[in-house]
Amino acid sequence: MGTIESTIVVDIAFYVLSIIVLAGAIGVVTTKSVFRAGVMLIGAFFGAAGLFILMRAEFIGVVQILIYVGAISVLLLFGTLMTRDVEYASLTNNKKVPGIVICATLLAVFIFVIVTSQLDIQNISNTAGNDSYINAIPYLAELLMNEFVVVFEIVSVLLLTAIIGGLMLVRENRS
Amino acid sequence: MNLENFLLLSAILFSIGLYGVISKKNLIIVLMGLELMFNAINISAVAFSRYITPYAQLDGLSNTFLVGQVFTLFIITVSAAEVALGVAIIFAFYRNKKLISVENANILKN
Repeated sequence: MGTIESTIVVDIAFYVLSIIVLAGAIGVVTTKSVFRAGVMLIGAFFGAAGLFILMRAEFIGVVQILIYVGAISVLLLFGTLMTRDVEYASLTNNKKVPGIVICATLLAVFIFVIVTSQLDIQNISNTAGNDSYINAIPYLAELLMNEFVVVFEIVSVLLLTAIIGGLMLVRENRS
Repeated sequence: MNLENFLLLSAILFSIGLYGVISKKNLIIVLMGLELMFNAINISAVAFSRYITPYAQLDGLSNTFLVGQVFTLFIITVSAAEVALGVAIIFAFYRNKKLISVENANILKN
């Protein structure tokens, strides 16, 4: 298992951001208020953006803040307009115990696989220390515009279709 | 900081999101759980991209080292489309039923 940055600052930043993300996520699924769940979701998104920046994916971090925090959270907070009793509207249904069992089993399988698998990435451990800063955004743009340009166009059409479909769904029927 | 740490964080976040999707009554909270699962996948994709192909190997000739980040961008776009459609469906459902509870979404049952 190769280690890229093992300074104490990166470790502390990782643990602080992990605590922010996990606390936000647990708050989303445990609180009873829909509005509080949305606010905690925003906190979790900010923590994930910090993790992206920690992993030297600055562009992904900024996109995360713009799209998730700026657009998706606001869209989800509109859900408070549609719930009657906002303070006590986020209740669990009768699948609580099966949900906990399924998620705990899945998490145990994940942890077992991650801990016991021997990933063959030993060859990167010698780049520790001299991994100087490289602006990767031009490489990202080149990749997006050369090799993945068809996927890029398809995703654009998908987004446009989703927007038009959403407008069709919420349109008033005046007939 | 190892790859394992990021993968463990991603696994825990995915499980929490799945719990929210399974066991919540409100459809908005179900969408929030879906977003948490998308975020877990994004974190693991960027971590793989970071640790398997680090920037120190970028030499200008081979630019395929950032495929994980490109896929993360596509996942973010698809999840934005999914949330827009999901909120639209919830709004249409609310206009019909005046409730957004999962148990009321059974008009295809009988």
